[in-house]
Amino acid sequence: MTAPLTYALIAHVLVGVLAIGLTHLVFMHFLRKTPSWKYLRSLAGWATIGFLGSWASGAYYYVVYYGKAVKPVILKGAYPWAHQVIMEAKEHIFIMLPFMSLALWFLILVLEKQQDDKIKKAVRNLALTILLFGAFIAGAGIIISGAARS
Amino acid sequence: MDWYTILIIAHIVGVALGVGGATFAEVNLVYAKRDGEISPDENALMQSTYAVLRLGFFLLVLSGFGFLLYYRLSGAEELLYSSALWAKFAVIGILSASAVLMQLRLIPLLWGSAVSITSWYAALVLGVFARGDVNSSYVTIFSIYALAVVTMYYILQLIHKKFVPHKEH
Repeated sequence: MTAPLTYALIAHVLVGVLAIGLTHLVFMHFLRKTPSWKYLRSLAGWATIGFLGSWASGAYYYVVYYGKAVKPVILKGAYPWAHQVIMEAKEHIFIMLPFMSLALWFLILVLEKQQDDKIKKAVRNLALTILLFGAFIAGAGIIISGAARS
Repeated sequence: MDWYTILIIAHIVGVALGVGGATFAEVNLVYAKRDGEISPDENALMQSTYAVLRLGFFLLVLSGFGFLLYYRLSGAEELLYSSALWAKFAVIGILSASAVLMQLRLIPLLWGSAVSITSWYAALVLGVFARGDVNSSYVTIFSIYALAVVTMYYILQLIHKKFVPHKEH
């Protein structure tokens, strides 16, 4: 693996985990009676940037290296479902995550100006959904890495 | 200093902050509730302890993923098959979920505390096991963990009964 691909994989994982951590903070902060909207907006904004960064670096790694070098190893190995099921699910869910996170940031902006309990609850649930998707994607990455044993 | 050493240091610092934070969160809670109410100063102290806990959790997770990357990049994927490692993943998942459930008031405080303390100590022990020669199955490790959570719950109940006054209605 070349150095840019190694850095892309590292960025994909660490920036993605950071974005999930920030979304976790957003969700936890949403549970407060009087959340700081400015703080929430900042967290959600950085989480979106993180998801986009992880998305871009992951896409580079996937297109340039994974399909040619990793996928065949997994398919020939003991756990082909790691690609056939887990990776397929991961890549489709990951397509949505940055946009869901962007929507979260935008809705926090709306809540900052116009507070509404129903919208607040819906946005909190959106943060939880992003968090659960993020946790799934992180777990899926571990399974795929483990299945890439030649 | 190589990346592996940096990861080990970050991971140990994260676990140390978490284990210490979880222990002191409970100690501070019992001390604060001894006189029947939590003062603003006591509340501020507990909040700072929770901040340390969150920092420890963050370091633990980030360095944990760093290890996984390191194994992947160095061709040591077989380490990902360790039952202790997967038990540790589950424990960290439960720890994270219990923090959310406590915040949502969906589980009693005492059960949340028992899960938090036991999980942090379990993460410490499993971290040692994952690098050693312990070959216990996932089910065995997880059964011991579940038993430890229940035991910790009853220990905390005893401590609270002894030191925290009960409100008379």
